[in-house]
Parts: sequence; structure tokens; C-alpha cells
Amino acid sequence: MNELKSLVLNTPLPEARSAFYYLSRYLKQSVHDDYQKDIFDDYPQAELGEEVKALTKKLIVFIEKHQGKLAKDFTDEEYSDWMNKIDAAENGLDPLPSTGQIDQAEKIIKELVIPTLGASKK
Amino acid sequence: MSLSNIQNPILYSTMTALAYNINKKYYDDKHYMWCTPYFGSDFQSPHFTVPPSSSPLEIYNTLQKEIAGADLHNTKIKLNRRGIRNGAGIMLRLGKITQEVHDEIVTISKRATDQQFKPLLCVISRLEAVPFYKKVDVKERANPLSYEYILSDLPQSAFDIIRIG
Repeated sequence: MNELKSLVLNTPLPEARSAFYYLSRYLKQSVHDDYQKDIFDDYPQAELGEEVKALTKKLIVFIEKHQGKLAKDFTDEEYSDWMNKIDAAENGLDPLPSTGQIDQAEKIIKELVIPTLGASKK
Repeated sequence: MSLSNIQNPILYSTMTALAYNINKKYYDDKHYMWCTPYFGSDFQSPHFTVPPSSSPLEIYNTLQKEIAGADLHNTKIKLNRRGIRNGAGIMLRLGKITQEVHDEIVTISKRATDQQFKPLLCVISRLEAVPFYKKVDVKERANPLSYEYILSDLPQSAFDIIRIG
């Protein structure tokens, strides 16, 4: 099992998903920016639960301890490796979709539009 | 600085075609986006004061490169997929969508191809954005003039979409 997924085994899916998302933000910001934003800054109407913040911090501590350095010191390869692990863990949170759900999703994907210049005013 | 007080008339944001479609179909054509009054990024310039990872132009170019296969990691597209799923979770928690719709969005985010993450540049009237903004608290070590804002529930009538390149 992906070691990150094992850290969220007893966490409700939405909280685990959010924690992985904010963990990604932390990594991205650490590696690329001399620019600090609150990684939990998000949709204004939705107050983020303390459990999500605590889990995100736990995941941060885990990967930095595992790597033996702070995220800001990760090499490009280490950064990509952890981002892939986060992606795999988050992607594996959901139960497999039913055939009906897959068919419905594929149908909607086929109907997606690429808006053209000025489309928003039409 | 508050969005009401800056002088720039236009805000810029890059979103993906898939996010645009999700907002349109499931969130009543109300859009969530991070934006800045600075299109590009150049710390030497008094006009472009955001870092590359926050610059709409840089984000646009990164997505273009990932779609073209020039960047094999596809980190930005993967992050966007996760962002769409996290957003669906927030909307579910707020009672704006049902569990069934949430699950549908999650499945779409996983099955959409990279091509469906084409970047779209949103050009937003600052004045029309004022009722919908939240300022992002930035502890900026390189440039104290950087501003970023989160817009939520922004109606499509408040912005236009263009594609560049």
C-alpha cells in the first residue's frame, strides 16, 4: 500500500482528499516560491475543519521526515516523486465507479465544450 | 490591499476547460478562481509582481506544455484533477450538490483526458469582481506589491475568456 494512504486509513474520505490536496499545495509552494500563502486558503464560504489541517500537517511531517529534509530543499526528482505518490494515494481513495457511473461520465465528457473568444457574453 | 482599492482595471486567471465545464454544468455557471491583476511574472518589473507559480501566463504555458507532452510529469494537470475533486467535496459539504453529483464529478475528473485540461485565460472586470472576492494573505519576501484574490460564485457575465498562443 502507498505509505501515504496508510496514514489516512481511518479518516473519512472527504477529509483525506482535502488533506492530500493541501499537502500538494504545501509542496508546490515550498519548492517553487519565495512567497508564502496560507495553504488552507480556499472557498470563502467553507470553513475548513481543524481535523483536515491537523491531518495535512501530519502528512507534511511524514514526508519531510521520510526524506530527511524540509520540502523547500527537495530536488526536482524528489518533488515529482512525492507528487506522484500523493496523486496515487488520493486517486485510490474512492470506491471503483459502477459501469453506469463510468458510462454517464464518458457521455458528459463527450459533451464538454471549449469556449471560444467572447463566448461568455453570448 | 482590498480589491476595491487597487487601481488595475483588469484581473487575470487561468482555468482549465474541464473546470470551466464543471462550474457551468454543476455549479449554476458560477466560477471559482484565483486571480491577480498581473498577467505575467517578472520581479524586476513594477508591473508583474507575482511569482511564476501564481502568474496566469505561466500557469497557461505550463498547462499547454503538459498537454503537448513536453512535460512528462503532468504535475499541473494532476493537481487540477485533485482540485476539481476537492472542490466537489466542498460543494457537497455546503449542500450545493448531491452525493450522486459529487460522485459524477469525481468520475469525470478521473476519466477526462489531458486534452480536456486546455487552459483558458479569464479576463475579469475588477469592478464586477468586487462582490465576489476574498483577499489571499501573502507573506511576500520578494515583492510587497503582490496581490492575489480568490473569486467564488463569480457569474460568467463578469468575465470573458480568451485563448492565447
